[in-house]
Amino acid sequence: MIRIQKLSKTFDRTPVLTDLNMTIQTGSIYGLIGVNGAGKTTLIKNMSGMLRGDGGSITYDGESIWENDMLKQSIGLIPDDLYFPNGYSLRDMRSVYSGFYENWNDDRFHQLTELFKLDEKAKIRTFSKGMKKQAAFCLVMATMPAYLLLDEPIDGLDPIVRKLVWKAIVDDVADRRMSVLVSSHNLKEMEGICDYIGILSHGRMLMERELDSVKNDLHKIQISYGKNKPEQDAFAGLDVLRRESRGTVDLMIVKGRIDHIEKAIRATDPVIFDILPLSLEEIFIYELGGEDDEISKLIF
Amino acid sequence: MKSANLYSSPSKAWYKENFRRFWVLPLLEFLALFLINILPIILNYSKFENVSDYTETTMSGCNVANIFVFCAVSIVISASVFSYIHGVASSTMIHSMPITRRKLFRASFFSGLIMLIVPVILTSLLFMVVSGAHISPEAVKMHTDSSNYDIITLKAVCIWILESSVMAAFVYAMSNLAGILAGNRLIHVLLAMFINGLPFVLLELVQIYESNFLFGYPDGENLLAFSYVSPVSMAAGKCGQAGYLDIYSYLIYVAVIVAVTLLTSWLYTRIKLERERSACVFPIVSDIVCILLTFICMSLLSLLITSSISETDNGLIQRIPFIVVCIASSVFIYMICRMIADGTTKIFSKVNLKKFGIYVIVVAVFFVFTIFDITGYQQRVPQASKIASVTIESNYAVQSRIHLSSGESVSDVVSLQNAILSEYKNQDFGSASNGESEASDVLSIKYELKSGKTMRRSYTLPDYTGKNGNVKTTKAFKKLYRSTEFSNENLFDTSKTAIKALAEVSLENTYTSNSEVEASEETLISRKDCYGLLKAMNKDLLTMDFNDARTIFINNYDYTSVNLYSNNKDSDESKVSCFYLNKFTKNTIRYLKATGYLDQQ
Repeated sequence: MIRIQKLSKTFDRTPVLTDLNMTIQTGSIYGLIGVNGAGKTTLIKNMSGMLRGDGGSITYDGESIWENDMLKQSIGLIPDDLYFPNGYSLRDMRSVYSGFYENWNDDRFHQLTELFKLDEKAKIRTFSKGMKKQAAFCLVMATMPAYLLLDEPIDGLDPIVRKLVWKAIVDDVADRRMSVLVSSHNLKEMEGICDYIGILSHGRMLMERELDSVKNDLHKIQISYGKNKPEQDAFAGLDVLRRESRGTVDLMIVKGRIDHIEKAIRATDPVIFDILPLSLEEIFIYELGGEDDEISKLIF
Repeated sequence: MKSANLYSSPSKAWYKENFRRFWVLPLLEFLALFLINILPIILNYSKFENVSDYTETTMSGCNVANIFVFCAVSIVISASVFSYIHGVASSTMIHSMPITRRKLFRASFFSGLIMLIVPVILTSLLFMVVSGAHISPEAVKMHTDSSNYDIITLKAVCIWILESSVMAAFVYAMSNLAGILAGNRLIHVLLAMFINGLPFVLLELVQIYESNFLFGYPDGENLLAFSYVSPVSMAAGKCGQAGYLDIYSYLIYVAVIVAVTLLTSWLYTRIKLERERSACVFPIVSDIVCILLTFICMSLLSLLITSSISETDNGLIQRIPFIVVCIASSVFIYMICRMIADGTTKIFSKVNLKKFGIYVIVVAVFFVFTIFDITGYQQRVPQASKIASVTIESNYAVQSRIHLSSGESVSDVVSLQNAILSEYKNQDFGSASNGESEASDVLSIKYELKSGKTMRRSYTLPDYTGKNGNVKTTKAFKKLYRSTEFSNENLFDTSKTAIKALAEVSLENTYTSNSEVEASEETLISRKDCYGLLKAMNKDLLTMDFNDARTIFINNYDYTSVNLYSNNKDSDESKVSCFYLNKFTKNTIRYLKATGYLDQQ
């Protein structure tokens, strides 16, 4: 488990992270969402041990990351800005990584390079942006990390390659209980992959939730009584986050267990009663209680 | 499947990567050293006499080309092995790898040091290979002692390795410190040059300030400090001393290298990598460099301007114009330095104004102790009772140095100095230009005090005519000149030991209007004639008075001269004395004619 407690970081008196708390469970995929400048990259750099926070702590299973070379053997980082020394090929980079990481798995490396159809002998400077990302992915995954930190990893990747990347990650999470942190500025991308979502804004964690529990907890309901509206309010006792009336049809966002909600509403004998699918962005908008600028910007 | 055989250790992996990426640098260093040192010997393998002087210069460590190579390569290797710190992407990748900053620094430092030293060792091995170079048969005939060409010995090569390695490592260590303090590659290189050159520049500036504002400040006063401040200057000043090693100094240099490296390692564990891309990672370093750079540039510019427009007759600069120019140039230069340091033209703020205020205070303190002479340096004269001996250098003496130890002579010198200072204070020095040719003397006084300390002064004095001023000085100098000890010390030593110590005595012709003493070319005086010649010269010296000496000094360009050298003639340092032949040296001229060195007329 990765635990971050009250992490603060300033750059020349400008606060970038402020009292940040975050927990990544072992064997889970955590999606870190935030607009540009929210602090995602700074957080990841702190988590990788490159930067040191001005306050707070970052621990991996109780061990602090700062200047801990043994712990770093288990951490793999794919940053947004990739670095390959001039003139190096993938084979040369393999030599670098294999020298640094004692868990280096050569078979895994070759397997991934074949999967992505990368030429190990070609100079990396001849690769496209997407191919460089794939190369970095192959190298890092071959170190068999227990913790994987990805800073906007799928930028520049085509849909097919994205699926391959996610599949490899999910397989490792399932097989080796690898813990993954993925940062992105796109909520839609994270849907269907992440177990947890955290929303970072101006260096603070706005919200951090387990996706399944959020999805199970919030429902969009369409209901109509026609001309025979009941005298009592059918939704008394229910936690209604939002209600919108369009003629005789009401559209509502209700929080709670679906069986309780269904039972309560069916008791009022509605003409129309539908439970509609709720998207992730709608979930977060309503969780945060209305039109939040930060969440709105995330939806595209 | 784990590939355990590929894993070494992160430190070893980093060594390997540095060697793989930067192997070209030691190769270039080796090629340069080969071209500078080995190739000339190979090309003159059977005529070693052609390159013996050059090789001796090299083995003594003061070959300028070698020094340049070591300094340049040290800075380049430092900038290369630590270049990863200054890139966002490289810094992120390397620092997230399983290696601590301390181990990373150690691996980078030592891999760079190995790349720096290996070419030195390889070159020294080649020195031993070519040490069999021999002189030609013709040279053997001319010189009876071929051991003079035994320059490339095992001892000399070992000393060369040590001196070269320490020099390169010193510059390298300073450059690494610069690299940790700098925020980008360009500043790394510039700061490395700045830090390595700073001691020399500051010492030289102090020397320039003192000699331009303090009456009596001697040239080369800081020479000793200058030569010891770094192994680079130590090597540069060691010419002609192949096979000699000042072991204590080099132990101190090694200690400095270790201390600086430990400091750099400590700083590296503390730098905030997010500050890379600024000029300096530690803002205070940026401020200090701004202050130093402004001071240096301001000094050079102000001295240059005011020395040409407001110099006194004593060669000193007037203070008020200098300070005015200093203020103006400081503002201008500080603004430029600040723009470079902050990376913006928007530098006008309270914070920067405060920093400029700190600069003003630093410079003011410096000026108080230098140009305003708060310590009373100019007026300091030792008591005669506290002086063990004194050495005088004057253009009026034949000997380059006159050593005086009697109480009377010491008192005369003290009186002379007091006279000089009194007339300087009252501005009673006359102009050097008085209708006759300029005959200003540079008088150097070196007191050896009974306490063991030394005190030196050097005065540029106008002509000793006593006209239009400098009456007291002229009177005091005449008294000294006529004293028995001064006269005796001004004579040539005619003992066998002294004559044997002379490397060469020659008659050198200059353009002269006196045909009686015109020699055809440079003529070597045979050793068997030296005794008689020196006796004749002494006889002439005893008959000369102060006015005669003045006449000779004013017209020395018009005389043929007898020159005596103690060591290698080609070095000016070794020249002992110059005796001009003129109407006052009848005995000497007679002797030279009798022995056939001058034509009989």
